[in-house]
Formats: sequence, structure tokens, C-alpha cells
Amino acid sequence: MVRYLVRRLVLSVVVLFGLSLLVFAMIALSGDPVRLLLPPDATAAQVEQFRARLGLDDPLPVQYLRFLGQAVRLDFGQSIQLRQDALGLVLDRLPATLSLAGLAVTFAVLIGVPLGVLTALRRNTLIDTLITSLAVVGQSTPIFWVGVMSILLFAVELRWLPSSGVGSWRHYVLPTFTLTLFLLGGLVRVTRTSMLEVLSKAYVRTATAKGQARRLVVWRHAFRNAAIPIVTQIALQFRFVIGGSVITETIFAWPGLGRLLVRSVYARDYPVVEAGVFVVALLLIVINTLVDISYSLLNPKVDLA
Amino acid sequence: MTARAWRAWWRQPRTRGALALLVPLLLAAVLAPLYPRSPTAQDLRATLRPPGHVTEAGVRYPLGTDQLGRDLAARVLHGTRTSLLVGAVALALALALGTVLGLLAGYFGGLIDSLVTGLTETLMALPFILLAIAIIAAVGATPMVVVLTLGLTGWVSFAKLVRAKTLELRDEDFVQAARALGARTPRTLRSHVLPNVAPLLLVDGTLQFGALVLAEAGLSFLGLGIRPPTPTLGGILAEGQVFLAVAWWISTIPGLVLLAMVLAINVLGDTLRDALAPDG
Repeated sequence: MVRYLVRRLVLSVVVLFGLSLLVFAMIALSGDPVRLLLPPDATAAQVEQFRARLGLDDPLPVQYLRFLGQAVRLDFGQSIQLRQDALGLVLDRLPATLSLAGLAVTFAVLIGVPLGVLTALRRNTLIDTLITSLAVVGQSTPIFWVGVMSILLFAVELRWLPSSGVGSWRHYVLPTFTLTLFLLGGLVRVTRTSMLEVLSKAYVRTATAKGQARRLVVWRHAFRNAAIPIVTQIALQFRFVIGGSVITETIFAWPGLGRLLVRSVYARDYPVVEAGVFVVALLLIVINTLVDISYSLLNPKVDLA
Repeated sequence: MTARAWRAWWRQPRTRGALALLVPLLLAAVLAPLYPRSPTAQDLRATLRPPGHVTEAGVRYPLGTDQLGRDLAARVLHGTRTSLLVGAVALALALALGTVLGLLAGYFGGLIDSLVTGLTETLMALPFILLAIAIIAAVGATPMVVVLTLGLTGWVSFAKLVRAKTLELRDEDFVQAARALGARTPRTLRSHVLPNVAPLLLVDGTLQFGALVLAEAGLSFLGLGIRPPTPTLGGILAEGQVFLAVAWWISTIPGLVLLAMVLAINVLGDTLRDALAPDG
């Protein structure tokens, strides 16, 4: 277990190092930030002086090391647009994104996993065909279209729910619905596939043969063994959920990280983009590690070393 | 793929249903320039007209017009063309890159394997859209950048797939025999390893094509993809959101076209997989 955690940690460091290179390359490619930071009527001498102060005249490797030093200390600098600490801005928006993402994943699991189990148990019946087809349609539907259509139906036509912003629980309904629908299809299909695989195993047949109650066979013998791919999928979902949340937040004017990042790109506010990319990557690495560890709890046969 | 696998693929009703959906869309995309009206021509006397509207001058708009009086049918046709074109070029790039890097990493192992694995793990640590945002923030959204971004992030799944399969094939008798008979590495890879990886690539490539088309639409929806006035399905949808209360058709129709296109592509990927693994 300890050896595994160490290896996992090393991999995470490698990934973070790779990300730092990526972000640095991004800054290097984005051209001269001085033009953005100084007023347009700055003199050539002022520009020179400012460049020297930012260390932009140093060779790239020196600039990279300095960037790395700042990143390790979580210092991403000030937002160009808002004149506030970039990391602070990102962390302020994180709870809004996480509450939306957490709700959507919870609903997707509560609806998707039972539906997946149901389709596996009723394989090749009408209900299986129906749910599986709907899952494929769900996976093929653009999330932003779902969002816009839900506004058209529930906010514009029926006037039941607000179309954007935050405030009461009613503001949560449409964004959560959109994000849940985005995740549901994949989860149903993965649950179905892994349940089908387990249900064909000898120990499930044995359990059935010895007269074990159907409910126990399904949930105790089959489902617990099918759980690993399902948990992997849920972990993967978090990657999608953050991606999907960028779009969902934009549609519904949700004050989360995704919308902040998109706006920062429009404004060419690189410190905020850097801090956001870093925070999301760190979050996903932590989630993936937790999921890997939870495998060993779900199935003692999995040897983490 | 063997002739038997193709037959197993064609025999599935879902395959034909998906083709019945996709082929007309492909034709429409190819023939879009033949449509009589331009996707950018404005008619400010006929803005936000519903589908089927006929103006006093006798001009008929089958799918209505947008806020600038542009013909939605022309815009959706050209947007479909852009979607498929960008998706196809990005897919070709991702396939080439992923196959070559996956083959090299799986076959040689060692340093190159560590590098490729490190790179794939890094790119997998981020949601695609965030990666795209980072790149586009840095270099700006030109069509070239959008295609490169999609291609350079889409290769990861191919590389992982090809690497795993190559690792498995490397020690197979027929590969060892080819090498013992004096086949050089490029020939071994091309004639003995690649043909065994190809079916996997066909399935994954089809599904990935759908994902790339959706990703391009998502970027365009956020205003980070190909810029107006070039019509894209995601871009038209985003413009329509503002006019949802007065003109539902602007957002609804491009979304439906996108859904039909991606659904057909995904179903084709599924039936290909079923045809290649009959008991799966």
C-alpha cells in the first residue's frame, strides 16, 4: 500500500511537471505580455524597463525555473483584468463549480447505476433496447444544446424556472439537469457492460444454483464485482464534469470556475488561466488517487503494489 | 477487417439506420456550395423569420432567418460542412500521431515509452476543453489552431490503445518469426503489427470522430472555435441563445443536425465493435 502510494505520488509529480512545461510553453507562445500590462501611450524606455523588471530579457530556461519556483509556492501573480490574486479568484469560484458538479454526479449515479443494472438483468428485452438506445442518444447529444433547449422549454415557454444566475434552489435545477443528462448515458452503458460480464461468471451461476435469493445474487455476488469499472467511470466523469461544467456555467451564467476561465481567455488574462488549469489538474489527480485506493477496499484481490 | 466481419457489420439494422442518417448529411455538406443563397448574405428587411417564411419579393426561407436576416438553411448547410471538415482533418492528425507514437512506445519500450506515457498521462490529467482553452488563450483562435488543438489532444486515446496492443503483439510468435527471418523494424511494424491493430483503430477512430465533431462544436459555442462570419453549428447555436424567446429555430435546428450526425457516427462505431467481437 505504501509502495503504491509512493509510486502514485511520483506519477502525479511527473504529471504536474509536464503541466508546468505546458503552461510555460503557453505563456511563451502567447507573446509579449508587456503590451497588455502597460497603457498604450507608454514610452519605449518605460517598456524596456518594465520588460527587465518582469525578467523577460532572461533566457527561456531561466524564465522557466523562475516560473516553476513561483508555481511551487502557488504564486501565479495578479489577475491582469481584476487586479486581484489569481489563485484567490480561482479558489473563490471553486465551491460554485464543485456544488454543481457534485449534485450532477450524485444524480447521475442514483439514476444511471440502477438503470444499467436493470438493462443487464433484462438483457435483449424491450426495456433493455429502449434504455440502451436512449443512453446512446444521450451520449451523442451536445450538452450545450440540452442546456439551451431546457431554457427554451422551462424558462421561456413554461416560465417555471429561471434561465440563469444564482440565488434559490430553483437556479440549480436547469444546470444540474443539463450536466446530469450529459453524464447519464455513459454511466448506464458502463454499468450494463460490466454487469453483463459478471453475470456470466461461474460464481454467479453457482450462487443461483444453490438457491440463493435473486436479490442477493444480483447485489451481493454480481454488483460488488462489477463495481470497479463503474467506479472508474465515475472518476472519469469528474474529468468530463469539469469539462461539461465549463459549457454549462457559460450557458446559465453560473459564477463558477469554468465561466471565469472562459472570460479570462477572452480578456487574455493569463495568470487566472494558469491558476485555473493548475487547480483543476491538482483536483483531478487527487480524485484519481482516491479512486485507485478505493479499488482495494471494493475488491481485496486488487494488489496495489 | 475480414469480409465476414464486414458482412456481420452490414447485416445489423442499426448500421443501415445510421448510414441512412449520415449519408444525406455528408451529401448535404459536400453539396452545400450549390445551395442558391450565401450563408453570410444579410437581408435586414427579413430578420428572425420562422421556417417556411416567404418574403413579399417571393424569396422562400425553408428554415427561416436569423437576427441579421441570413438564411438559416444556408448557414446550417455550411456549418455542417465546417464541422465534418474540421473533425476529419483533426481525426487524421490524431490517428497519425497516436498510431506512430503508440507503435514506437509499445515496440521499443525504454525511454521513448516513458516519454510517451508521461505525455499521455499529462494530457489525460486535464479535461479536453480546459486544455483547448489553455492553448487557444495562448495562440488565438484561427481555424489552423482549432484543428491542431483538436488533433494534438485527440491522439492520446489512439496512442494508449496502439501501445497496449503492440506490447502484446511484440512477443507473439509471428512477429518474432518475421524478425528471425530478417525483417527490419519498419517492415515488421508495418506488415505484422499494424494490420492487427487496425480493427481496434477503426472502432476507436469512428467513436473519436464523433467526439471531435462535438468538441469543435463546443469550442465554437464558447466562442473559442472558428470565428464568425464562417458559420459553425456551435456558433449558430450560441448566437440563437440570445433570441430564444422570439426565434426558437436558430438554436434548435443546428443542435438537431449535430445530434443526428454524432448519433449516426456513434452507432456506426458500436456496430463496428459488435461486428469485430461477436460475443461482446
